[in-house]
Amino acid sequence: MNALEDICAEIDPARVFRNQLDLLTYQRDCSVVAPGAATLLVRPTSSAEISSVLTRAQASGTPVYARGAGTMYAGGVNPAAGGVVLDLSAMDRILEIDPARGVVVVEPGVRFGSLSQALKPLGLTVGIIPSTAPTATVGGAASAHALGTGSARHQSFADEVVGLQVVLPDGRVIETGSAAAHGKHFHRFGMGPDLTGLFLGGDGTLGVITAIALWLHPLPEFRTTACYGFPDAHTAAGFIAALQSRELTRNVWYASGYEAGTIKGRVLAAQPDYAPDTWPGFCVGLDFGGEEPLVQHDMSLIANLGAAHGAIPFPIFDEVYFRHLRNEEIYWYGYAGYFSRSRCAILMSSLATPDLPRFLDSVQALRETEPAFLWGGAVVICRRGLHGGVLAFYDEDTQWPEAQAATARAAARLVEAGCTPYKTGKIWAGELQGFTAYHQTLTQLKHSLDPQGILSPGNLGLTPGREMSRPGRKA
Amino acid sequence: MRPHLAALHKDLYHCADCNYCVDAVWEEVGLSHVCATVQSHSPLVSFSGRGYLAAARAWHEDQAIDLPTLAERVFTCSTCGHCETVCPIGLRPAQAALALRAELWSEDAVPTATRSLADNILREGNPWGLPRSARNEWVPDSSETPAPRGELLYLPGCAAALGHSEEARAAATLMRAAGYAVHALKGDGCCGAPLHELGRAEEAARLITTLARRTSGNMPVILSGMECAGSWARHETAPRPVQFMDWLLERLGEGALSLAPNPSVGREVAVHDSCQSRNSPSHHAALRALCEELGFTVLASARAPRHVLCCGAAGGMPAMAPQSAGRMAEARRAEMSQVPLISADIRCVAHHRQSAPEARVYGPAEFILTHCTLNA
Repeated sequence: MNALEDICAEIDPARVFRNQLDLLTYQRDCSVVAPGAATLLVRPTSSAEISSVLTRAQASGTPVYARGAGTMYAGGVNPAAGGVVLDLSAMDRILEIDPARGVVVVEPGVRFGSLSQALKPLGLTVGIIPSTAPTATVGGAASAHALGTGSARHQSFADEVVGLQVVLPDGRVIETGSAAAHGKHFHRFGMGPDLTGLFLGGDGTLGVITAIALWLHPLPEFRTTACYGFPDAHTAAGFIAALQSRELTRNVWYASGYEAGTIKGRVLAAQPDYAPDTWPGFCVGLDFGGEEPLVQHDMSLIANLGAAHGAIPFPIFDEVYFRHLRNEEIYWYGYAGYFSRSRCAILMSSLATPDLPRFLDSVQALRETEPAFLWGGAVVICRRGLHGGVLAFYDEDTQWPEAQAATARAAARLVEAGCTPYKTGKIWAGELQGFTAYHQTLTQLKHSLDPQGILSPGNLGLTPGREMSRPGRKA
Repeated sequence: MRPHLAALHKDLYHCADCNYCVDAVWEEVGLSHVCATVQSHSPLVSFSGRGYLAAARAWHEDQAIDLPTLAERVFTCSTCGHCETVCPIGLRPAQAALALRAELWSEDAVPTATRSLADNILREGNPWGLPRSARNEWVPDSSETPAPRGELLYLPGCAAALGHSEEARAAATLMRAAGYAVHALKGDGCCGAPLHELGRAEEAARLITTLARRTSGNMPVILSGMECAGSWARHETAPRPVQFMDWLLERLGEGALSLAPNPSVGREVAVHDSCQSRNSPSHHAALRALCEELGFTVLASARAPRHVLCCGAAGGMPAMAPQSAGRMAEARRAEMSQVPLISADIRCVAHHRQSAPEARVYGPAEFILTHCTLNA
């Protein structure tokens, strides 16, 4: 029996696939990152099966990549070193909903759409729901540091995780947080250091997440939106920082910022005759949710805070774009706005709020130095700090390698501007290695947990992958 | 150079692998699954829209492709088009499936079951290979009906004429009861719809062109087949035939027919929306309007009409994977099992009744004749 056959020895053969045509759809995610080519696809249904696969893969040194829906844009699921893909979509059970403890426990293949559907009748929701909710899986969100609806109120997906069940690279199954001691999730921290955090955003490098416990929250009973225009990014950054320091995003589920070009483009596309005396240089959109009196109270405070920072209400942007973005089907896929033109490379970073102007300056510099691509910038406002997305639109038939190279240069520029890699996967791997002390520690942890380096080679720059040089084309 | 794949070049290089065409859940828009094949036949992505786009791109790039496996994947698609409805950026995965089918025909790499289907259509004018002479068995015994209101040319389509001829007979009865003489087309042939679904668009176009030529005249043409309507829509001709259901609604509106529910039947029904008309709100509205006009209450569907999944009747599914096609039908019936189901798509009705003869699934005309009193 060869190594690959041995790896799936304890898996139902009906859930093991070897055909090249089937593996073709597991080569990549939504990113610009080069695809990989696995030789085996396994659809496990339990931690025990994953444990069996990892134990055997460790013995033969075979790479293993875990995968949810593949909606991330950092290449983390691309099997750069070949080997085995674990498609976790068959592990899609909601294991427990406990309103008393305020926790829901799910398998990694549960889609956010299914989870919301199950929680809605109970008047509940989870803290962070990515914009790809209909397809994105909870396991993928945990592995790849999702953000989205809820980030303004709760920060990141990792902040909403109570505990995990993880299969370690040697096949051991562990639970983290209070579940480690009691088998019940009610507290993330305790006993010692936070092991839960070790696997969040790990892109599958340190273990395969097989159950996720999330905090539950009341489903907002009242929702409304508002937009404010600012003269420029500097004044907007001052407003956002004040908003965050006064914790006025407590009833805001989503907030984002828009550059002048986007504002003008969206408004004129809907109302070509619109001609204000002056256009805002920056716009902030806020999607409120909560009990109506509390929302109205906060809206009033925010309006006053905005006025003190030179903001003016900008309802037309809300009317023609932001409200629809948050509510209507046409925008149901958060990336549709990004991908409607062509494929696009996305680099997601985090940054301190005062660095917003530097971030936007970096995007502008990319427009000037990389004219082969159309560049865009987008900002998501979190409870603290910002997430800044940089987008490069490219033609995948003619510009793919060039787009990869330009994205790498953009990553370096963003780090220089004070941004921190977010959703690292493979797209930020090179830059992550530059954070020397952090990366050395991570490498030591990796080596002690996964001495053969079988889990997700190429991710986080921990172990090398072997990317296909020109994806697709016959040599 | 594979021309059918090259024609989809933009789609092949634009797909962002977002997975919406594989499976997605969004309760607020009535979406609980996307692909009936993935749901009831195989969970592999290679059986979905994304799989077809990926395979088409790989083949377009001259990568080595396992053609028998590709054929099995591609001809199992029901071509219902839901993948295109949900694609956030408007790509055409179902067209990619059709393009792959066309290329597989040119490579002579088509599964036996599919080849038989196509042979049947070309030889006998229907997918089942029934003799052409059987096609007009629905024709009323007497054509002597006084026709104060006029004459009609009725083209039931393969499904209503052969797969579930109760519908064609019932439709003809209703047309005559409304005061029309009903004529059949001698040697009535296939409109090409099933051939189109099998990836033989050119031959399908020839069939509809022939049919359109043979039916041109002063007599209004009435259709029962939903897939036939698709063929006519692809054909550049005017005036278009009228769907039986629309015709019937008009007659009811002008008082040419009077119908009332039988006292012994329940008054609640459900509509089995066809995946073939997912983007035609008028079809969904017409059947509901008809039921309400007749005095029935239409129960709300579990899914939005534009997000229904194929019941397994369409595309190559019944020929390629009959068991899976049966599971798809069962899944659709399970959504609304307590009351009679009415479908404007007779292919669905025929498929349900073939896979479960006891199923209470009816075509509109058949439902009326079995549940209503005529000219009450």
